[in-house]
Amino acid sequence: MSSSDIKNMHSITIANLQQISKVYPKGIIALKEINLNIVEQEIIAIVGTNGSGKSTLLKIIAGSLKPEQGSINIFQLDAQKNAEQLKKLICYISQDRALDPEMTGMELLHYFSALYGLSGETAKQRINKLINTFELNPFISRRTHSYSGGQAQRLHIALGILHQPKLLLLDEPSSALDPNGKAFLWGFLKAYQQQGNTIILITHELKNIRKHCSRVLLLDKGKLIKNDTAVNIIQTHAKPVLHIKTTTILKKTESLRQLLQQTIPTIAIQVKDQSARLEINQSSELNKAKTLGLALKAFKEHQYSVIECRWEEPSLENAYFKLTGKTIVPPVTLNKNKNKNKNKKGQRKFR
Amino acid sequence: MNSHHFSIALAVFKRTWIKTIRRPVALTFSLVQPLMWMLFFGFLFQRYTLNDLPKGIRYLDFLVPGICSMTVLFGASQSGIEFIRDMQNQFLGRVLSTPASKVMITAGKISADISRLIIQALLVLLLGLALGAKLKFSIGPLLHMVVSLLLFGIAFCSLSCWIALKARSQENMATFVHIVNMPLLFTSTALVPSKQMPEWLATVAQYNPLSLVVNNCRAALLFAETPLLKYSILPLIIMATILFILATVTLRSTQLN
Repeated sequence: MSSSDIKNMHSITIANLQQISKVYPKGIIALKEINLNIVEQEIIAIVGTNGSGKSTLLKIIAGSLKPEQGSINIFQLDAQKNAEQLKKLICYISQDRALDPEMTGMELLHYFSALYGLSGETAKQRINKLINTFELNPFISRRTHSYSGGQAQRLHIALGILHQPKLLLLDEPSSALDPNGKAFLWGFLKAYQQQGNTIILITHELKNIRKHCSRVLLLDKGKLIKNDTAVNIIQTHAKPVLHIKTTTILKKTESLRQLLQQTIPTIAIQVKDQSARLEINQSSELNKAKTLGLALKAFKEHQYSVIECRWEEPSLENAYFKLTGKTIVPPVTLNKNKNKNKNKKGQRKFR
Repeated sequence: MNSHHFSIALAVFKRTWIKTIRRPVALTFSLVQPLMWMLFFGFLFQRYTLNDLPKGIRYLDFLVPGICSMTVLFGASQSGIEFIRDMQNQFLGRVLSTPASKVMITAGKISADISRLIIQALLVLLLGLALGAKLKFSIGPLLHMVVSLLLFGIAFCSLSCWIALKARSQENMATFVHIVNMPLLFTSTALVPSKQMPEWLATVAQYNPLSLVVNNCRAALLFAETPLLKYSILPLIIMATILFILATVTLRSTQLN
């Protein structure tokens, strides 16, 4: 039993998923026998590669998709039989910013406040509060087609919490935000949680997950492969990794592997093109400088010139790779110019 | 049903109107189109002799009620396109994730479309008068005509919304519009009296719902008469109710991935 399970025993369960499976047309298995307990006031992160079933899981909890198999209880109600009632308590904020481009932000706030059943004065107060919280004032009177990615995302989230849902589900909410926007978002989520609400979100921001989330769900091919705190997952599955890049393609690697395994006993090696990934299984008393020296010596003995080497600290990314053999965040290109252009473009888009 | 339900319908009504006003090209075209029909058909058939109609009624007089009804038909059949747009930008998914009553959402949307279509039909009527049509105006028959157009509009807006929710693409929707509108128009009494049609076409026209509305409009505008409600209004009430329920049930069961 993990520490989170022990904690869960003493907390109020707000949602319980039993044996949830979802199959899309053409037999694509999106989720396979998911069992999950969600406790009040948690911030839970769902992590996985594309197609691992993250969004499907979130939509099933939100009630916008029906599972083929299994049962869901949310706030002590059968989610399938009480879908309409639960809409007052849950909000799913999708990855796509579902805004009407022909309406202004203010019109949309009033429109959804009516759909959520908020009456005159309550609606006004709620809208004003959201405008202040999300700093929407400078652009709220403009039609949403003129919004930047960050502005649209802020309005998108604000619309989702108009009715103050007890369970907030967010699908990659920070994807269009710049660093300030991301910091603001996590601050908001923390504050919303402290008001007694529960948050489940899909995100690739591993540092923020470690900092803010009480639990992480790792999904792979529709299966829940880990359900624990970030710290526990990292301690159990992540190891420090030494990345080495050489000037030439690594060929005939067997003798290099043997030498590395002789000099650094607890090591797992993966080689591809000009890159080697050395996973060191001795995180507690690892002498990085010594290990690096030994590794470089082995490469030199095999006539390889090293142009880049870096340590990757034990992380969720690392643990996910260890568990699935896949990377969560797509690898960053090593071409510096390309990176520079990409960042500039990104800043323009999300400012 | 309480005030909260009406505020949902009102919000949807307002949004539909806001969007209509912000698309001036579409709005203008929907007004220009019936005008063109009236001008072209009016001048093309100005020497057309109408059998079995009282003397003094010219083709233009006969045509105006038909074009009024056609305006409502053509406009109503486009009603569902808004649902497709909302599906494509994920907005409909967001709306459906709220606890708002789907009956009120459908009612708000359709009532906004109907109010626009009735205004357009009345503008067509005014244009007809401006072109020289001789029409009669009497409150009772006029009210009967507006109710007929309203029910017919509800029926075809609902049908269009139902098709849109099922078709989910503008291309499929356009096919529906063409397949329904043109045959319905040309097998009705909107442009030609049934007595001057081939026998088989006259039989089809007799059961065409567009003919029913056109005949109601003609009774009001040409003769200031109110036909029997059980033949002139009841079929439209039944049709509007069934199609409205169908659209609402489909909206309620719509699942968006």
